[in-house]
Amino acid sequence: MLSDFGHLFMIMALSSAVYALFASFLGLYRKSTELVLSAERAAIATTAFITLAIVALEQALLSSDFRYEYVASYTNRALPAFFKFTALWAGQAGSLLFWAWILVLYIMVMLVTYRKRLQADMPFVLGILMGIVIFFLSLTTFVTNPFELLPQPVPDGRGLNPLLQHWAMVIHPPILYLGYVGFAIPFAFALGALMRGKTGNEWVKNVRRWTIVPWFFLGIGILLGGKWAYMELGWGGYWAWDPVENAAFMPWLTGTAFLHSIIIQEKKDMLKIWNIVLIFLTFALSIFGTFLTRSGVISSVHSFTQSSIGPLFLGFVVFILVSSFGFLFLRIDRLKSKARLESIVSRESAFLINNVVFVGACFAVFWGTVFPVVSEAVRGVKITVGPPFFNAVNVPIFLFLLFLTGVGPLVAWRKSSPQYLKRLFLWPTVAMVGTYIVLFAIGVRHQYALLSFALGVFVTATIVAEYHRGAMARMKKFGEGYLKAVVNLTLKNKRRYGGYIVHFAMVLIFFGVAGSAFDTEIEANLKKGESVKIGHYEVIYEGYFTGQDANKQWLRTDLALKRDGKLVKKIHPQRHFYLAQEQPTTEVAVYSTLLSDFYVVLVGVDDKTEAASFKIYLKPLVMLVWLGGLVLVFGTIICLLPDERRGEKNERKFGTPAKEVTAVHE
Amino acid sequence: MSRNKKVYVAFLAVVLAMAFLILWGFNEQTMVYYSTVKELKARGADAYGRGFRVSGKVVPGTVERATDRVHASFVISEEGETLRIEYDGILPDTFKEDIEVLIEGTMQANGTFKASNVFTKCASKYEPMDEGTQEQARRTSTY
Repeated sequence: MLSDFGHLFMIMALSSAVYALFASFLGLYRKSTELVLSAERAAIATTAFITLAIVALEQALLSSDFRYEYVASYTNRALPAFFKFTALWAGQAGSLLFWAWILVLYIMVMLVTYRKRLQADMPFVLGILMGIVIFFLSLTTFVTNPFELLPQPVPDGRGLNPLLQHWAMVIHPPILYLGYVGFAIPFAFALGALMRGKTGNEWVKNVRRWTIVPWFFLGIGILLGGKWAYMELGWGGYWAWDPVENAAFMPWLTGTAFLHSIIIQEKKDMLKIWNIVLIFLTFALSIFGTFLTRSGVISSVHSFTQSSIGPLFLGFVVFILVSSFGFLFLRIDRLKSKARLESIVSRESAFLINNVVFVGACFAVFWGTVFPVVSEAVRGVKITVGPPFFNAVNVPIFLFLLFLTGVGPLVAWRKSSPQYLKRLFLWPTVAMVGTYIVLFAIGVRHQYALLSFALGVFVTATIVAEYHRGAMARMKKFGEGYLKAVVNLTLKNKRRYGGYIVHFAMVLIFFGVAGSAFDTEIEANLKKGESVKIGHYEVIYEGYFTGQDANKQWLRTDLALKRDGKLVKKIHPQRHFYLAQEQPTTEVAVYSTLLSDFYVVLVGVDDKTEAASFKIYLKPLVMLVWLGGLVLVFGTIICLLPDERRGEKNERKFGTPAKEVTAVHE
Repeated sequence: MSRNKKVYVAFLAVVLAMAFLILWGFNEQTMVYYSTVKELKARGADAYGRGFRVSGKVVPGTVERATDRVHASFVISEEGETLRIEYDGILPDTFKEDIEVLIEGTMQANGTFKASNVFTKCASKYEPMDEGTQEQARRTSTY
C-alpha cells in the first residue's frame, strides 16, 4: 500500500526542502549557478514527494484504512466517497499537509513563470519560500502526523462532523488556503528584494498578479464560509465576527490595502516602506489566522479543534515578523522616497487615506479579537467583545471606505481642479442625494442603511459614468458601436476597468449587508394545516415524515409557501440525525429572490400533538451578497487576463482612449 | 509646505476618528466579562444588566425544551456550583447533556441566567485529544 510510505514521503519532502533552502543561499553566497539549479530541482523533488504523500493519504481515506488515526477520526464506512476524499482537509494534520502541497504548487507555477526572467531574484525567493515549506512539513512529520497509526485498527471510524458535510464547507477550506498560502509569494518577493538590496519598484510589478490571486481566493473563501454558516448553522446569519472569521478577514483587509498602495508605488514612486510593511503584515496575519483557528486561545464557535500546535504557530509568526522587519530595518536607507504629496484632493491622498482606513479597520478587528487575552494579561479580568463592538467600530469605517471607493479612482493624480471635480461628481452626487431622499420618503429610517444605499448608488454612478465616458470616446475615435466600445474599453484597460467591476461587487455586498438592517423574524408553533404570515408571505404547515439511510435519519416537514395568496413553492425545513456521531443537524429551507430570502428553521416536532415549531426569518437583499461574490469573480478574471504583448501600446499606456475627455486624469 | 500640512492634518483626523471609534466601542454594552458561576453568584445584584460569559457542563436530566415556542432551559455546573440558564433561541446542533457549553447573557433578578448566545465546545467528539489538550480545553473553559 502506498499509504505505508506516507511518512517516508514526508521525510523525503522535508529533506529535499531543507536542501533547497541551503543550496539556494549557498549558491548565492558562492555565486554558483549549479547550486542554485540544484536548489530548484530539490524544490521540484519536494513537490513530487508531497504530492505522493497526498496521494497516499487519499488512498488511505478512500479505502477506509482504519489503521490510521486520521482516517478513523474524520471518516467512517458509511460516509459518501466524496466526503472521504475531502476529509483530506477536514482535520488538522491533513490540512497542514494540504497547505504545504498548495504552497509547493504555487512555487512550481512561480518557477515556471519567472526562473528565466528573474534569474537573479529566484534564489532569494525560492530560499525564503522553502523555509515556509519546511515549517509546515516539520509539523506534519514530527508534531501532527496524518499517517499516525492507531495502536490497533478499528472496525469503523468516527465519521465527518455532519456540520461539515455541506458543499460550501467542502470547498471553503481549500479556497481559503489558496488565499492564506498564496500571500507567501508576494511576501517572499518583498523579503527577497530587501535581502538582495534591490529595493526599486521591480518587485512590486512582479507581485501584482501574485497578490490578486490569493486576495481573490481569500475573499471568495470568506464568502463561502458565510454561505456555509447561513445554510448550515441555522441562526439566520452569515457573519458573526467570530475569531475564526476575523482571522481570515484581517489579512484580506491588509491585502486589499496593499493592492491599492502598490499602484501608488508603481505610478508615483512613493510608499516603498509602507508597501513592504503591508505585505509582511498580510503574510504574518495569514499565519496568525491559522494560529487563532487551531490554538483555541480564543474560544470560538467554529473551532473544531484545539491542539498543541498553537505555540509553534505563534513562534513562527514572531519569527516571520522579527526576521522580515529586521531586514527592512537594515535596508531602510535605500527606501526613502523623494516624491511628496501635493494636494489633499488627489488620487495619491485618496489612496493613502484608503490605506490608513483599511489598516485601521484591520487593527480594530485585531484588537477586538485578541482583547480577551490582552485584558487578562494586563488587568487580570478576561473580557470579550462581540458583534456589537465590531459593528459599532467597523460600520462607520466601512461606510467611509465605500465613499472613497467612489472618489479614489476618479480624482486625478497630483491635484484636481474644481471644474474637473464638478464634472466627475455632479451627477453621482445628485444620484446619491436622490437615493437618500427617496428611501427616507418611503419610510427608511435606519441611518447606516440609508448611507450604505446612498453611497452605494454614488459609487455605482461614478463607475457607470466612467464606462460611459470611455465608451463615448472610443465611439468617436474608432467608430465602434456602444456595446463594442464598452467591451474594448474594458479589455484594453483590464486593470482599471476590472478594478471598477470589483468595486461594483463590493457595492453589491454592501447592499446585501445593509439589507440586514430590515431583517424580521418570528417564531411559529403550527398544527397541521395552520399557517402564519410574515411580510408578503404566508406559510402553511402540511405535515412531516421521517426516513433513514446508512449515514443519517431525517425528519422532514412540508411547508407550502404563498406570496400574496399564490403558491410559490413547497419548502422542506428538516432535521437530520447523524448516526455515527449521534448528532442532530438543522437543515434550513430557504426561498431566495433578489429582493429577500425567506428562511425557515425547523426547531422541533412534538411527538404527541404533531405540532411543529419553526423560526422564520425574512431577510431582505441577502442574495446580493452572493451575487457580489460572482461579480467579484468576474471582475478579478478581467484584472488577471494577460495583457496583449504588442500593438496599441500607446493607447494602453495611460489607461484610456478616453484620454481626451478626461485629460486631467493623468 | 502648507499643502503638505493640510494633507497631514487630514490623515491625523482620519486616524484620530478611528482611534475614537475603537475606544468608544469598548463600553458596558459591548463588553462581556468572563466569569465563573461562583463569581457570578457572589456578585449578587451587582451582576444584573451586565454582559457575562460563563461556562460549565450541562447537567444531565435538566434540559427542558418548550414545544409551543422556541425556548430551552437547562442547568450548568462548574466546580460544584450550578446555574439555571434560560434561552429564547435555538440550541446549537452540537448541544447535548454532559458537554461543556459557553454561555453569554445577563443575570436576572430571579437568580436565573438569561442567555443571548449558547456555544458548545464540541471538539472532543471529532478530534481525539491527548491528555495535554484535554487539560487545555478544561482550562480555556474555566476562565
